[in-house]
Amino acid sequence: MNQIYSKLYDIVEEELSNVERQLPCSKTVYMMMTEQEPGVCNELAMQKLENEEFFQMAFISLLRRLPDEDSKRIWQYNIEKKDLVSFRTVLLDTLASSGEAISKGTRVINNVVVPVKQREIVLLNDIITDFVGDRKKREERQRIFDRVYKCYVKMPLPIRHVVRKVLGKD
Amino acid sequence: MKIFIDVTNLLEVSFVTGIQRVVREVVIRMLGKRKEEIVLLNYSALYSTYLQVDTDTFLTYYKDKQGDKTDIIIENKVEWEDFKAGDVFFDIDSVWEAFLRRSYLLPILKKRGVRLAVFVHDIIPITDPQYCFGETVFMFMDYIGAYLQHADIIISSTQSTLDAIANLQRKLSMPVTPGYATWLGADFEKQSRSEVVSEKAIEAAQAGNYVLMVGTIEPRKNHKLVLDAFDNQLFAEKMNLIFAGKIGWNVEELQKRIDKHSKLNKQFFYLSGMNDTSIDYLYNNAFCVAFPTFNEGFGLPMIEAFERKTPVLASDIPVMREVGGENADYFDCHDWKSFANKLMNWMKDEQLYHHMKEKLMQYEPLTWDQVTNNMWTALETLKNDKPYVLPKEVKQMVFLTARTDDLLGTLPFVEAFMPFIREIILCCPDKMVHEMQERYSGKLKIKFLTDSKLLGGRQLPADHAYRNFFLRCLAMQNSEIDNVFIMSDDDYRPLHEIDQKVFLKDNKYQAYYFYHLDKWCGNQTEPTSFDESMYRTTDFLLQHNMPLLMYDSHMPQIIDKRIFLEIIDKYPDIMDKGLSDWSIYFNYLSKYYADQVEVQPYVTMAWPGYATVWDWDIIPNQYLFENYYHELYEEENIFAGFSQEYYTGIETENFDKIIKYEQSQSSHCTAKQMFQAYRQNYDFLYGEYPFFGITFNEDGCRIDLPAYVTICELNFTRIPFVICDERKSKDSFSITYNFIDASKNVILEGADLTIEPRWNVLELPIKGTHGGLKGVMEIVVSYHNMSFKNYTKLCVMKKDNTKMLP
Repeated sequence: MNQIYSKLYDIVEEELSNVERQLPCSKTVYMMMTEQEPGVCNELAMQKLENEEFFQMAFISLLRRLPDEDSKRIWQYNIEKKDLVSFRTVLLDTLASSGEAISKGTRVINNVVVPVKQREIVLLNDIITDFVGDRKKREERQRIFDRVYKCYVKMPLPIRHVVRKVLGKD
Repeated sequence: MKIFIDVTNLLEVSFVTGIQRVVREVVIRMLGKRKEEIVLLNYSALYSTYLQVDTDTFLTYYKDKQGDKTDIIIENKVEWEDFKAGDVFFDIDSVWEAFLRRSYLLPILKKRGVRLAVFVHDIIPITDPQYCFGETVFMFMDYIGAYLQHADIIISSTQSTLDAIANLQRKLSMPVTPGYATWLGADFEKQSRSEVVSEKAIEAAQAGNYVLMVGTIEPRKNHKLVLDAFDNQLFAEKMNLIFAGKIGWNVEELQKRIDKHSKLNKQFFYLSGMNDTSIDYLYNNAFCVAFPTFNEGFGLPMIEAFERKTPVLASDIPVMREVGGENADYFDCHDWKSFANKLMNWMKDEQLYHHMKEKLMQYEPLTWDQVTNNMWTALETLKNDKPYVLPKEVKQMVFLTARTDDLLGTLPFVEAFMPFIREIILCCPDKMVHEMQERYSGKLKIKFLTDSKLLGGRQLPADHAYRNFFLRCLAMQNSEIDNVFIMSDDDYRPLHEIDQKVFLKDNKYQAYYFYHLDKWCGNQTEPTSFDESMYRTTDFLLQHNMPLLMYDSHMPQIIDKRIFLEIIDKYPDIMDKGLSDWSIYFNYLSKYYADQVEVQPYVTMAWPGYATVWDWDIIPNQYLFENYYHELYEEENIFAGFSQEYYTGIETENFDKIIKYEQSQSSHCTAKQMFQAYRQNYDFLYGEYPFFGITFNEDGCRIDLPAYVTICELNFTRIPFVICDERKSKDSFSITYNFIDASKNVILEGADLTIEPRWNVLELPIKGTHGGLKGVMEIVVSYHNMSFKNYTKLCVMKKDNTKMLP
């Protein structure tokens, strides 16, 4: 941890506490901000944050600003919910796909928002099924084409001309 | 020396005021003096990089006031490589609001040896954060924290601000950065005089004698104190009050008080949205200007009042005393009675009042030309002293070697292709002397500095890196070695004739780097002595705030012995640390003698020996030397069939070798580019970059893979895996990969790599099969007899295929 940033935070926090105010974000969020590349939301690094801090850090990294009052109001219910997975997934999706994030050129990296116990390890069979499924569809399409082509070659020439015209081949 | 200035904020604002006004005045004048040295930057969030601002179109708009801001040309990308050691990055603007946070930017520039200068207007968000917007304080902490750690010089408008910064650094237990106070100019470009004075201003001014306060109404400016003084005493004394300025933040109560004031528009006037002509009029006709601020960076309204010969009553704080001097009078900004008493003195004592006005007749504010000259003077202090004179020629080459055969193979190349070298010093074991004398029959004059001579009874360290560094440090202390010489190992061979300018050009040492030290992780399986030495060197350079380029470029390089000895003197126990002599020397040179060195990409072929050994950081744009590995000449290797020994005319063969090596380098680059294209495509499809991760915890291991992966055919693609290890034991693990086809057949098995979990990112080299394959990639991680697997779709791309989707 960078001691200078940490002590600086403490100094300012103490000044503000004398007038009963506080900084808008926690020290953890501040320290994380000073360590992150601007414009990059490193979800893996943010995993250890509490919901409220995760919310602040998501704004800082994706929208390059602190949450405004309206956003805090909208998300407060979700922040207080214990369901980490859905809150964090939806929050990152919403912010990352917003016009503001796109215009500011920000992006998410190392997205492991789903915790270990809930994550499904991808099975080999699932992927193979995909490939096999694709192949079956391709084979089916080929069979249909072959049948249609056999009918086409048996048609009289004038009719074949008409068919070609209709299909835009002439 | 180039000076880079970030003008992003200035280009964005539609109305130039406040800090941006200072930036405009300073930059225009700096361009007027030394335009060729200045590079203006505009940060593009879309491209995540700086773009260069054309200085001519910039001046046309901001100085000549012609055209539109959209006429300013902003195009060429400025890459990190464009910032060179000795250049200056000078921040003047309110960059704490910038996209490119300084906590991220400054370490990057520092590692490149760039000198950092900053103009700090004030540190009020730190010393008095209660007067600032929360987000501003938060971002300012990032900015000032970065500059306190990394700045080489802090420039400010006042000594008071510099003192506040120094106090802060002492509180943070840091050394105090050198500072320079320049003041601010007051000869701003006047607005067009075609503007008329507002009728409201005339009405307010003609209502009677008045005290004027100019500026945004916000808590820090302390308008409340003056209003209290007037409510309690001064209105009754027939003095009027004018507030000229817009309503700021966090003044709701004061605003209500103003709106409902009983004397509003009779003795008390609130004027908002006044043009410059009206403000001018108000200043000229005021009895005095009140400046009861709690804190300021400079207090330009005070200077503006002095210019118009209007007396000023200001807060008795250090910055006001410094700026106002004897030209103003001062009061306690926490006590309205203090202000009221001072004003009453002027009202009752005409002589005293006129004495204040007469003092102002002699007052001449500083001009922006003078302020800019002050800034240049400050920036000039960043140039290094030059106690050492560079030689016109270099004639000596020093080898550290214990291998007679390798050296005898290299010397003919040196003799043929480096004709300016006339003398060789060999630092070698004693037993090598006789053999060299017997076997060497070339023309170079050879002197020996044997181990026994160098060590003088000391023990030679066992480890290769420790030994080499130790011996080189000892050798530097020997008078046989010239002040300036070429240092080399016994396997660095010139490929064709070269000129001394490769090492010494335009009175500057040429320094060649091949990597960034903080990125170096070697081959990641079993760190070698060389790798460990690089890690120690990185730690040392970080500790001493030096740049972090890696100069172990495996080619001869020029060394100034006097500077090397300076390093040994400065860090007395350095000889036993097993550091990289090349990287320590050149990074030190870049930091302390930046004007005497030119840093460039290296020019060595066969470093790395095989193009895939590590991920390339810097790609040479020419090859002047070969890092000789005899294995590369063995059958089926890249230089098989080429001569390993010198013969007359070998240059032609060397050019053929260069072409072969460039081809293998090009293949590696193609694989890397294809992987980058895949990442961009994935981001386009899924809104995020593909993530490859391995997480260890007490329950086991989780392997995260993206929905699909695309790699280049036949080449190694280095895929970065983020490693997260939450285990207490942090044991090593092995990782491998397999390719599986649609029938579940394993068609390729990767090599098992054993990894020490010391890295945050592991680059796994994955070899592509022939292009066109669509299948499954299986990643297998094993440790403690446990095995974990995960799968993703795989597509192996042909090199000339433009389709990227599987």
